[in-house]
Amino acid sequence: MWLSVIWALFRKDALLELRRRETLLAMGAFGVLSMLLYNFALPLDGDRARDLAPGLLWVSVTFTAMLGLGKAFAVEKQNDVMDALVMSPAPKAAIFLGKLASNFVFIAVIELFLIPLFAAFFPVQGNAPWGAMIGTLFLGSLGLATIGTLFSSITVAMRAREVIFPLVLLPLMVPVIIATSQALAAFLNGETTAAGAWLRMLGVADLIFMVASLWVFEFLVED
Amino acid sequence: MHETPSAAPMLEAEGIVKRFHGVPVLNGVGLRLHAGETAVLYGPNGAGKTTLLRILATLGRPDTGTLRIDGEDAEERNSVRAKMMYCGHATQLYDDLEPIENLRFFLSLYGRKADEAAMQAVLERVSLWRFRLFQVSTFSAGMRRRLSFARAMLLRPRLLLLDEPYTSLDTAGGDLVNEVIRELNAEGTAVLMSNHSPERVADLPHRRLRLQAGRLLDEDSDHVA
Repeated sequence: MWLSVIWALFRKDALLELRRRETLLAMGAFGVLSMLLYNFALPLDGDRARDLAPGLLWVSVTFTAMLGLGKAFAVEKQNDVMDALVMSPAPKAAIFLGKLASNFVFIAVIELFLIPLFAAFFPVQGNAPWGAMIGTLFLGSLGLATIGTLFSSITVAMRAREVIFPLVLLPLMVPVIIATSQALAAFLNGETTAAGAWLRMLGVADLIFMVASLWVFEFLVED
Repeated sequence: MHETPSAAPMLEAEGIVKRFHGVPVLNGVGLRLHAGETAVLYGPNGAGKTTLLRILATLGRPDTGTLRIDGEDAEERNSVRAKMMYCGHATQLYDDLEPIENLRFFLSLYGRKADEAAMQAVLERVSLWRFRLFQVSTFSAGMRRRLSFARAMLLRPRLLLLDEPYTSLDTAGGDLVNEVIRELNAEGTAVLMSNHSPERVADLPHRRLRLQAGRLLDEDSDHVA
């Protein structure tokens, strides 16, 4: 039942996004604009690009993702659909994982769109290990999507959720932000040992966020 | 959902107390509802009908009191939820999905396979089959209510909780609700609904309950339910 519930939620969110084209378009436009602004404000090349660009990329991804994450549960608030989800016998953790899967895929799609722009705007000398960097971005995005999905469910009923959501999310994201940007920078500088250490830290942060979110979400929807 | 008929009441609530900001809304409510029975809950606005229905639907927790569904403690959330369904004031439907997409999604949450013929049959029954390719956002309030009811028809719960089910429905829609409730009762489903119009349920065999000053009275026997 878990897999069918996760798949049902993911498929439903993907279908709604294909129809409404709200989240991905807004995220994509914001991502491109932030890249452009960084490019104008901080023209980087060579070694400076190697040092600073990974951080800029990850900050862009974080802010872009927050646009979509903030209203991830808005569609469940409409018409009290959340009541039907809670009242169903579906495991609540599976409902969380279904929402997480759609949020993660939305962020990953935007990342795959932003990476070529990033490479064009902030050229780094030498061969960048793009495979490892994309893997790092995805691992960071998993942590971002996990904690973002949880806080989206918490803040969805709040009147000032647009303000509260980033205020509660960003401080919690600090370990993921640091580990992801440091791992990206280490890969760009060819320091694979250091990158591995940061990736391990990122993996641990993701795991902690996942376990805590699954527990808190169940508690949240039941009480 | 009718595989395991049981002698225990389908719904058994005892001593349900709920306070909001210290003010008691439900003050020791007790209720027994048996398989195949329909009970209609009356009471003025603010009497606590929706609060009671939400507690019985396990969507809210009482401050004190016990709740058993089909003989099982309601704390066994997923197990008792598989046996019941609650249709609230809102339709609990996704506006940007089509009727069949909505039905298919909710069937998945109950671990059911989407039977296309069954979905067609219920949509025809609620007169929405010809609108099957329209998104719910284009539906009138009455059509949405019909679709919400179609979901209950498809899931066929053992306990059906309805909060003012006749709202927004035309006469034919209201008659359809009564017809389906009679069918569900015949299959053993217990139905509890809140309602404001006694004439709407005149042709439906039912027990009348009144929620008054936080207590539930059985109007047919004039005793606490």
